[in-house]
Amino acid sequence: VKRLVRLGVVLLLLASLTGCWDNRSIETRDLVLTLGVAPAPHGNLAVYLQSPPPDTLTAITQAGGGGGGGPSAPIYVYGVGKTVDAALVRAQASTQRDLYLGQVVLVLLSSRLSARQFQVVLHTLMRLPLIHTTAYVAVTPTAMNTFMTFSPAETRLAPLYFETLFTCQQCQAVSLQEPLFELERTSITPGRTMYAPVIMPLGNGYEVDRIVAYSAGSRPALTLSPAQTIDLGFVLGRTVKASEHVSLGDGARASVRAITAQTHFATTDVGGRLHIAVDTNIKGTLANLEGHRADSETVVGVEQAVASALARKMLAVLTALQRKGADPAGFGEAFLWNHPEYLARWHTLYRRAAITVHVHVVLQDLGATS
Amino acid sequence: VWPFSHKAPASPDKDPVIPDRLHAMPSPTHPAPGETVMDELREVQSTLIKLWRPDKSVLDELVTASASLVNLLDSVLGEMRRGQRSLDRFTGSVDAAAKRIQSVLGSPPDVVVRRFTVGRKLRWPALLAYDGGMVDSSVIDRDIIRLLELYDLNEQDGVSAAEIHDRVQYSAQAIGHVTTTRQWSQIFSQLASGSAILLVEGTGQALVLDASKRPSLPIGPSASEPSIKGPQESFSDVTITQLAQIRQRLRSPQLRFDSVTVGSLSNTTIVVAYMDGVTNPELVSVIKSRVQSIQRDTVQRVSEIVSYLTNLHSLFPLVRITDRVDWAVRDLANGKILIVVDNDPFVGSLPCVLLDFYQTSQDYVFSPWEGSLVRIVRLLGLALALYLLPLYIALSSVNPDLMPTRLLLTVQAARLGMPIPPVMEVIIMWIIIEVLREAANRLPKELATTLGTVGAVVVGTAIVKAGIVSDIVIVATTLTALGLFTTPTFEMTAAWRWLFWVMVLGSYMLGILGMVLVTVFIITYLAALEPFGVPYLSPFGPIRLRDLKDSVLRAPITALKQRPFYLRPADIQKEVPPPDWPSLDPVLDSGQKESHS
Repeated sequence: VKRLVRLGVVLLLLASLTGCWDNRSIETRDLVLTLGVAPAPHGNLAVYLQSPPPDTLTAITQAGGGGGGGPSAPIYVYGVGKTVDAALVRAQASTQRDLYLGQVVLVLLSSRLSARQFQVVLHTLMRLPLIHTTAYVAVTPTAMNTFMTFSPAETRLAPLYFETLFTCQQCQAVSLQEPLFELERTSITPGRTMYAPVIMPLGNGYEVDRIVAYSAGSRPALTLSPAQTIDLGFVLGRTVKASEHVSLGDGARASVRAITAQTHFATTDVGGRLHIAVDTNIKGTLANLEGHRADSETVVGVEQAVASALARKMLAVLTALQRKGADPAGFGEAFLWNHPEYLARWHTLYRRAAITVHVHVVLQDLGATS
Repeated sequence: VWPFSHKAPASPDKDPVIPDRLHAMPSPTHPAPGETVMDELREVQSTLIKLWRPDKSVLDELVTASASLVNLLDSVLGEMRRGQRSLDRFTGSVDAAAKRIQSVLGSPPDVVVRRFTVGRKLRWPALLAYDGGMVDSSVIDRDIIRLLELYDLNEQDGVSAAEIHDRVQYSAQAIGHVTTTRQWSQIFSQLASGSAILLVEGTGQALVLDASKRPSLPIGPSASEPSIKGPQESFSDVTITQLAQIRQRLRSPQLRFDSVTVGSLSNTTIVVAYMDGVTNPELVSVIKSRVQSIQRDTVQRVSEIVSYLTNLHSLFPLVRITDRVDWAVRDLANGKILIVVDNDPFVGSLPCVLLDFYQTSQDYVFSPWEGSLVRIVRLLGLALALYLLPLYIALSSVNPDLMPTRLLLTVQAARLGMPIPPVMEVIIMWIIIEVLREAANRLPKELATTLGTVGAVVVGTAIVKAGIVSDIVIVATTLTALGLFTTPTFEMTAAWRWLFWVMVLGSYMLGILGMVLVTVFIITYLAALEPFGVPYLSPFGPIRLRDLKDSVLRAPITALKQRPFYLRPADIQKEVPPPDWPSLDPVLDSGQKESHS
């Protein structure tokens, strides 16, 4: 009997200490899938929390997902405060339902956030106890309330679309995913600067084909064009299915597709000046050849032409980023690992650095031209 | 007088005087003491009726019981008058014996007492008593009574009772097994066991004739452990037949059947079966001593014996109870011990480990691939049954962050508008499943099928339409029930059904962490079980690579050359290959040799 009483007491204590009485079922909560942060007047921060509407939830459980009527506009609440925490409290106070942050898929940061705000937001989000640290981060120049109410016909639930897009490595020419924890790690690594994909709402969907590079101090340094993003992707190892068109002279043209790259770089100190040598091996498929037969000599010519063109463009992007003080490739991290004495004057050193790019192209498959 | 007074009776001043009624011998002029008692009882009865008119039936019963007692006393006194020292010995008087049988057994409809004479001319008094439902009546009529009544070979005047007894015993040899006894306790015990008792006037010995023909279940396919192919035979409920079924498959002189009678009222025969030279002799000794030490009035089923042999408080079954003959024989050959209980068509096999309850005879019928696959499926079914619904509770109530987003949205959509939390959904559905399960067990087979359909379709559909339980829980509950049904042995499911509730509690209180804690508790509990010194988690805990060949995976039969080591058999080898192993394909082999040469 004593043992039973002890067991009963232990179970009672366990039950009372676990807090299970406060368990909330998921249907009583608003699952926040997108968390947006934008600057607000008077130096405040506005936090936007977007959840899927009930009819969208019902629709995604039905086979086909079709049916009459368009999707409802997403539900969002927002709060304004001096800090992210204060804004979250205000946002929670504005709704009766429990806002659940454990399933945030997309953390959307306004490009108008100041450098200081950006740092504060990033560090606060990483330390929120519930937030999903594997959420993807993106930047948008669009006003946050516009973004939150944007409901394109082709995308029923935008966060899930972005999750699919960022999870899939081969779905875009450049794989643009940047998890929250990765961005935070980059922000605190000496000699490295952040970059994040840019999302812009368009008529029927979203445009996600460029990145914004930040300089040291978390200031937005340069927003790359889609083409520049692909060229930088060669250096970052993120370009997975690019294509390149080159002219071979005497009117002949060649197209190379399915380009993938492997890049290595070396940083050396030569007489007090930093030398960055980028070496990229590219493989691709000869997709089209006009004006020539696909003999070995021509193929070599195509390889050389593509290598030359890509090297030139990659160097242009790297130089542009260098001028703005952005280092998304992590040259500084590699250099400072071996030369920590340069940490204090790294930015000066980087701006004066000599960058060389060498590209080696191998056409593995001659494709239809053979 | 107790119980109406607490006062102790006053001690008499002098010793009480007990009248010596035993020396008052009955005679035509002097009635027996019993008759005096009866007269007094009748007088008391009539007085009571006159005074306060009690229930007459009660008084009748009282008088009847007293009459039996009087008969018993008379027969006992009669035997004592003949100088009989022990009251338990048959004196040789057929009349006294008839009275004694009637007084001890009463007049039950199944016990037949027939008085007849031996010999056509001699007409020696004899008595035959037997249980009409447990003997072959044709043997009684044709081979005993008729034979003895017409007996006239070498009949002589002046033959002694002992000679008559010997001749009768010689004649009765044709019936079958014949033994003699003098003890009334033995006589009544044998009578209750289905033997016929033949008493001849003037002899002090009773002949016990084995004329039993007990009703028994027909031998058919196993209902509790059906198999698609392979042996189908199930055990009979008569011990002799059960032993014959085993011996038919194990025609070895090493096969031992040690019999023990248990039950002061039931006198049930318990047989401990094992293979001498194979089974661990220490284990045999322990089991036999434990069976012999059982003190119980009745034993009806093997599970009662099992309770005395193993840990009473164990949640998991420690003895596998089966009605499949081939499986019992397989266990015997592996070095286990069988407990056979008379009147129970199931036998107990021990010692057992956890995986024994997830193996079936059918695993060995098909290829190793099939055998291994079904065993894996059974364990997956167990995992499904134990974790699916608790996982639903944990992920939907405590740890939603651990669920994939799309799945979580699906679950959330399914739960929209539900009035009760997930844990209550699960509890309601599982109670319904348990009720349906028990109802199906109690109903006849035809109705059980209908009930299953009604339960699954009608109740399931209705409860979803009523908005009490979500679709997802219906799916998860169905999978859980199916997962539990993959366990081939019924006794094992009870343990998991209990632990399911513990798991539900753990998942609701601590989410995934609670499930992990309960899992650790289960593994610890299983690891602590050691029935008869055999670790219950063998061959995984402790790990024995050699025994893994026939565990979750089933290796080819040719690879199973040794008995399970965890049973510590006296002979580990199942198969000893000949020194010159013959080629599987002699023609091909010789062709290859020629080509190589």
